[in-house]
Amino acid sequence: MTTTTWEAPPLAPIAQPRPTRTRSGVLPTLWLGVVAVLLFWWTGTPTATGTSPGGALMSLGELAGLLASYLVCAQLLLIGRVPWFERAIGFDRLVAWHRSLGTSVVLLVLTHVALMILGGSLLDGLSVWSEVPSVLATQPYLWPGLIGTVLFLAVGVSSARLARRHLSYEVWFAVHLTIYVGIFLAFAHQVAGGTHFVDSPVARGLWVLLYAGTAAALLTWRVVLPLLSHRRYGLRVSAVVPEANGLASVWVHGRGLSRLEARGGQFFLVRFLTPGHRATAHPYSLSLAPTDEHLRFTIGALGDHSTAVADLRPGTKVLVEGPFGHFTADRATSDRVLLVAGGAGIGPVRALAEELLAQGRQLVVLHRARDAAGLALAAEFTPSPSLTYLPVPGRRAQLGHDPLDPQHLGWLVPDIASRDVFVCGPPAMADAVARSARALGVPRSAIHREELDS
Amino acid sequence: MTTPRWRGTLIYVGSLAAMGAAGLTKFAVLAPPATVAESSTDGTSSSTSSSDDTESGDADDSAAAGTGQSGSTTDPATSTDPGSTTSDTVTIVGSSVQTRYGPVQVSVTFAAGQITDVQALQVPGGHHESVQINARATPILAQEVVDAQSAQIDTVSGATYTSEAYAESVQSAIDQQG
Repeated sequence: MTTTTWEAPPLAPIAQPRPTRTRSGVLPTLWLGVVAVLLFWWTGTPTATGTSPGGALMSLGELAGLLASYLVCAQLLLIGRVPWFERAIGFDRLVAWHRSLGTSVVLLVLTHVALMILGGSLLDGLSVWSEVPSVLATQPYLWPGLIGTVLFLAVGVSSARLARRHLSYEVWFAVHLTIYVGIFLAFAHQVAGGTHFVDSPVARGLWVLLYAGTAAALLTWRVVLPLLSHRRYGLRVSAVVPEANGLASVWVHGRGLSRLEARGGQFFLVRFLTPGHRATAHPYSLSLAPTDEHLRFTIGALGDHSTAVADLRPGTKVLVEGPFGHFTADRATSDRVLLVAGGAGIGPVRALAEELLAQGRQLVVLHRARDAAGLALAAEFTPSPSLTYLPVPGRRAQLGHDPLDPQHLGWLVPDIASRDVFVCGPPAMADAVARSARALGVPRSAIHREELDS
Repeated sequence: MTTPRWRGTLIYVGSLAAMGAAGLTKFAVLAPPATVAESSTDGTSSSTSSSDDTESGDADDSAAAGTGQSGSTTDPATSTDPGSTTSDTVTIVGSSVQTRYGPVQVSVTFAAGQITDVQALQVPGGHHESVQINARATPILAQEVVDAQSAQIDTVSGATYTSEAYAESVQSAIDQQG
């Protein structure tokens, strides 16, 4: 089972290349929402509010709060596994937008707090320091709002690049989960104390609707549907096979898996229901085009639990969300393709190669690893007229050069300019390949990348 | 896909700029009303200066009160006859007091030195419900002022901010009346 050698199947008609990502209305809709919030603030603010500096500051503080609150919902929806967003934008870009907006939200929350305190102290004729206990004592639900703010800060800080480097995935994830409490606590002070809401049942209704809609989307696509599909597919670990240095393949057995409509190169968020794994889902790529009964994930020594999959017992139940990702065969625009894999990137490349070969394309697979022992799944790439397998083991220091720089890459794959380039591996490697390919004349639209990070 | 660095911060800076622009356009409209207010103060100061001709330094007080515009807003007040303050009906506009929910401003009518009426000129009415709240609160507050003959009034529950600002505006009118 580990060495499912396969040969290039007979030529099949080449699938018509499809546009990679259709232009979506998701992000414009998001920005339209921001404009709507601005208009809502505009209509709800009497002009005379600005007659005093305190009033103007507080009013702007309210605007900052409204924007932050709206963007929180947008953020949740972006990572809510909403199929429309997934198809239009793609999981990776959604996560990237979620992160960017996270920074904005935390900064806007801080701005809101600062402006409200400053403006309030000017209005009430109090010092900034005595304004804080004063509003905490008088404004409805401000204490929960304060706790919510602290949770927002904690999540923001724990997600900063610097902190992520020092925090385990599990700690980060646990902190991240508390944001739901934070959002709940902050919500009460918005509708009960926000000047734009206390007076207008319509505005209050709309705001509650926004939050209820977001919650419903999360429940549907992150809780209910995954549980239903869990029942339907009955996924269990059937075998764990060590492949190479720090890499192992996890075979997962189920029924009717073709209904998942997963493609080679895509990934699932996988959660093994066993102690130590239960709490977290990891993004794992398929390393074999899925059959109706089997999925295979080849997992690298990245993250905390990924390394522990070797201990998984057959029979362990598996929850999956997905498939996600646009690193698929239908993005190829040429019938000649170069696939570059680094480390655990060989998994998705292996699955992708299978589908590309089935489409009758001519492949070169370039496999980078630190040493020969790290060349996982190498035996599965049986050379044929349609497939050239180029293993390139060795650290750059040992080789004395970077085999992925333009010079060496051009030497390894002389006809690279006429090929689609698919690269999957660590971000630094993907960057290097993309740069070299551009330098060698590969058009940007023909470079497809999938990065693997923890 | 790695998140572009600084994109979140840039979005934040962008939203700050949008907030600033919105605030400026919203509140810059205040410049014309401010001049209007000024011209009305001019008008009233001329009307008070006419009363100043007849009597002592009361008008100086009202001029010193700054934002407070004294003078007739609707009816017979100062123009009727700038004679003796003791027997006259004078309506004095209190200063505009800012609250969390908008500005509050009242006019206080004095007859023979007694407070006979208080009218709310501005109450936070930007929102549907605050109109209701204030429609309920303002008559109560006015009655309290007339009863107490001062700004020492109880707050109306549910309209705390309005009540406090109301009292402040009344006090400024009383101060102007001297």
